Amino acid sequence: MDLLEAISVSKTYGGGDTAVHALKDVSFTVPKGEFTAVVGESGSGKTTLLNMLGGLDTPTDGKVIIDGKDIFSMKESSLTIFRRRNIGFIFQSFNLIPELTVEQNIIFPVLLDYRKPDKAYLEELLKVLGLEDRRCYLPCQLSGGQQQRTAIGRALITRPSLILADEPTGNLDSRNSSEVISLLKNASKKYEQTIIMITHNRAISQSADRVLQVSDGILTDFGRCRE
Amino acid sequence: MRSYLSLIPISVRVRRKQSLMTVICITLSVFLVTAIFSMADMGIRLEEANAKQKHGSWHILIRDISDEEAEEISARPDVAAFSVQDAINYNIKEDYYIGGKKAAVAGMNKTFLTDTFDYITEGRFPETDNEAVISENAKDIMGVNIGDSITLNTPLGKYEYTISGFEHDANTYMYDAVLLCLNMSAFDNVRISEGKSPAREYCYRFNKYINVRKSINEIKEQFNIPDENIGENVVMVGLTGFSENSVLQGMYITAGVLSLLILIAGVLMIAGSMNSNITQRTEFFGMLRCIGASKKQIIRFVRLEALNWCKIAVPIGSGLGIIVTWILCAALKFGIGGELSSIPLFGISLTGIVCGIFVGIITVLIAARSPAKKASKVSPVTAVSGNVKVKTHRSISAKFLKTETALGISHASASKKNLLLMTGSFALSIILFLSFSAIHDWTRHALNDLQPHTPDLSFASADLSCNITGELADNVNSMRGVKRAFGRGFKGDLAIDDYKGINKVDLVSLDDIQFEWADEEKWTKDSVGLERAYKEKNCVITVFDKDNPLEKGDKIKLGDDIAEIVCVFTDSPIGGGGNPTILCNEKMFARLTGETGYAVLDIQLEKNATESNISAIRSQAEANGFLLSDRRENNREIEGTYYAFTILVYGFIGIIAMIALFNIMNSISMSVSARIKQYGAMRSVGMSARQLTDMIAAETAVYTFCGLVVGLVAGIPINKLFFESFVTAYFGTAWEPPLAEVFISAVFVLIASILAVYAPSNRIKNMSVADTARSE
Ligand SMILES: Nc1ncnc2c1ncn2[C@@H]1O[C@H](COP(=O)(O)OP(=O)(O)OP(=O)(O)O)[C@@H](O)[C@H]1O
Ligand SMILES: [Mg+2]
Repeated sequence: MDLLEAISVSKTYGGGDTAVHALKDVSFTVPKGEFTAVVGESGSGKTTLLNMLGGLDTPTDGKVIIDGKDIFSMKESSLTIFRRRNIGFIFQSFNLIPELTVEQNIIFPVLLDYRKPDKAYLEELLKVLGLEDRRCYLPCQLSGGQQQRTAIGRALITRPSLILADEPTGNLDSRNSSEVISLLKNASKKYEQTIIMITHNRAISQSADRVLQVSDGILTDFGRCRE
Repeated sequence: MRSYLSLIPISVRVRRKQSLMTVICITLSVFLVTAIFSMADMGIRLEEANAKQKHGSWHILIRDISDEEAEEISARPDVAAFSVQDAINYNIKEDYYIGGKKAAVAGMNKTFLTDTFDYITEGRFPETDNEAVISENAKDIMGVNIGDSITLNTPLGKYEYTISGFEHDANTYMYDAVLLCLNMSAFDNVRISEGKSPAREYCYRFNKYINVRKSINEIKEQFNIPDENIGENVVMVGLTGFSENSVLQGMYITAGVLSLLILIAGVLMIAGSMNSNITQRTEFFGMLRCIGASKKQIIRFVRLEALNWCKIAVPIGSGLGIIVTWILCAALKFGIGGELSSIPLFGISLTGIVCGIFVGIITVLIAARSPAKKASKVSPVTAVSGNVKVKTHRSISAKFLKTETALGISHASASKKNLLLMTGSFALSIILFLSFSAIHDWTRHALNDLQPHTPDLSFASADLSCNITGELADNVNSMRGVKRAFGRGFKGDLAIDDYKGINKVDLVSLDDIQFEWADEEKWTKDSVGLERAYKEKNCVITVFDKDNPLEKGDKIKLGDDIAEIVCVFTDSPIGGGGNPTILCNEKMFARLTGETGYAVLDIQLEKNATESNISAIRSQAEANGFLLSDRRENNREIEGTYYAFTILVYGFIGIIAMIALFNIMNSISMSVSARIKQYGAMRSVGMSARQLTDMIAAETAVYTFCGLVVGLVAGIPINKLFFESFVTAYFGTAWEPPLAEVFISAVFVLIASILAVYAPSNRIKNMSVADTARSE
């Protein structure tokens, strides 16, 4: 069963002479539970694609269907709630709230949904992420890898079915990178989550279930790497 | 953490330095409003205390109703106190004497002397019919004491009383006569034997928080009381807030307008600082949106964050307001005294505190509106890409200007909203200043400092006949302690040939020095006419009064002469009798009336005049059978009030200047902070500190220019409006463009802008290039 389906998505920035066609008629599907890597040169349109998939920005043309729902037919407010419950984001620059501790950062999305965090699940996450003894630390007291693991925790706490990550290892050294990636993979396997990740790292893209290449706004689906 | 909103107090603690400016803004608004309303409240309490002392603690006075009706009114639930009084010979024209002094006799109930008026200074109310309270001056004049007996000699009889106490009546104090106060039945004995008919006056005080206006109308209707039989204690009624008295209403409007201006200033200041705060945290809000915060949640977050500052700012602001009120009150009380010494010292004004808190919170809520919207509109995309996009649609044109200047100008005009806010806050300083200067003009007109003509003592013949001879005047003039004595002749009810419906005038003579003062003190603006009245034959002056139809150029027949009115006094201390007043020089007065003496002789004392000098003057007056009134205390009060208001007005102008300065500096500093990363980048690619300063200066210059234009365009009409409704309406002075004020405010804004540029550019200079690039 496909979790995500993009149907001829196009995105054009600006207009007239300075128009940039960042995405050109992109279509693909991602089955549930798959780990997909997005590769491509700088400026090719990877981030633009991710923004469309997460509903952060609206495409000029085309549809994105997640879990059977056309996300751009939703109203802004219900899209926000849908995103809150179904999509987790991980950023290159971590984007943690500097005033909050690790634990508080992780449960923040749950609080935004006016729910009580599930204590047992939080403990489990902290353990899986290896942050048990760092739970009361502030982001500035953590290493880059630990910060990114916290961000992963924040993305996983709502048990989203889709995780979107834009170069999550871009700011990390190779040891930390592989640590973070394997964590993410294990977690997604455990909780049956679909991951779409932009990366420039060859090792990571090679270990992915599927690789999508974007070049100059055109997407090429290399299909499943390993059967 | 229970809710996402718990982030607010945590993050405020961490980002305390960044929010400091905003907290200062809120504190300042709360402080100002608390102080203004507290001072207004203290002023009202002072007025109330003084009004009670001077005019008594009553709201209405009713004449010509029966005792039964009076009782019935006093039984109304809204009436708090009721008193009655009656008097004989209150104008001391008849021959009532006590110990050789002229005397007035009054009857009253106990409430009148102890509650409605707080006159008893010693002893108690005369409970029995053979007791009496006598005015305090009897102690000096007759050497009597409590328990002594006194005799009242009337044209028809003789009455004996024992003194049970003394009273001090502010209204009769000036006259050199005594007042005898009896209880009602003792008074009626005298009144009946003297063959006088009763002339009762009933005073009523209403309960607090009663709509006095409504009660008065009800009473009028129910008892069919004609308007002329019901009097209002204007000051007391005014203080209840239900007055028709326009000066007090003007005061209320002024306080309201001032607070509104402070509110606007506060909103602009806080909105400005919040806006730049939001700009600096775009990424943060984008991230919140990404992880699922809705627009509503962001708006709530920003608004609560702002309200959270109130937690610190409001207590500090209202505390400061209270303390400053105390200091001001103490300064007024001990520095000036007089009428102001009854101002409460450590008064706490609930109105002031409530208004301060209210304005603080309202300011924040209004100010937070636009930044909250702005934060909620931050696209979640910003969190992903990591680079904050400052949208610039135009590229700068550096053809005619240096690059840094062109950059500065483009910074200023890049965001419409920012330009609007900055222009607004610059303009507001000017508008505040211009509108307040109109109120300052009002104070200048409404309260006169003691003018050169003000007499310290004056004596008058009882019937205003001109029997103070020139010889006596010279005599007084040469007495010790006397600086100058000057007199006026008076001839009341002088018949003239019917003209414009008038057949009688009051004729008054002026001597040389009074003609000089008339010019110097601007009793009239027509100095040519004044000169003619002084020098030429048959030229006279009239005094402006709404019932006086006489105008400049009119010719009236005075005696055998035709006199021409060559000048009209609009603002003079003379006049106000029943007939139109005609003023002329002494020569003309003598020719018309045959009198060479004065009816009134005013005396100015030397600074070092002693009490014994004054008693010498007093005995001189008494030896000749005149009444001496002492105006010194009254003068001191006038002077005190004048200085108090002047201090207050200049204090306010000072505070407004401070707000303006702070506002301008804050605005520039905020706009620099918002771009500091960009500036850091520019410095790292080789822009010198000097060029950076030029850039900020160019940006500031745009704000200053726009602010000046908008401020003057909006401020001058407001100045005109205020001036016309406060000054022109009451004093007739026409509005003129406030050139001096415009100049002062322009110079002030310029200086403030220069200071505003200097401070942040200094900050950047002192930062290392790497710091500037890194700092957030
Ligand atoms: N807001 C925008 N307005 C105009 N053009 C934009 C905007 N965002 C992106 N673009 C353009 O769209 C194209 C694709 O950009 P995108 O950010 O998707 O690239 P990317 O593949 O993520 O590159 P990188 O690997 O460097 O992050 C670029 O040419 C960029 O200039
Ligand atoms: Mg990218």
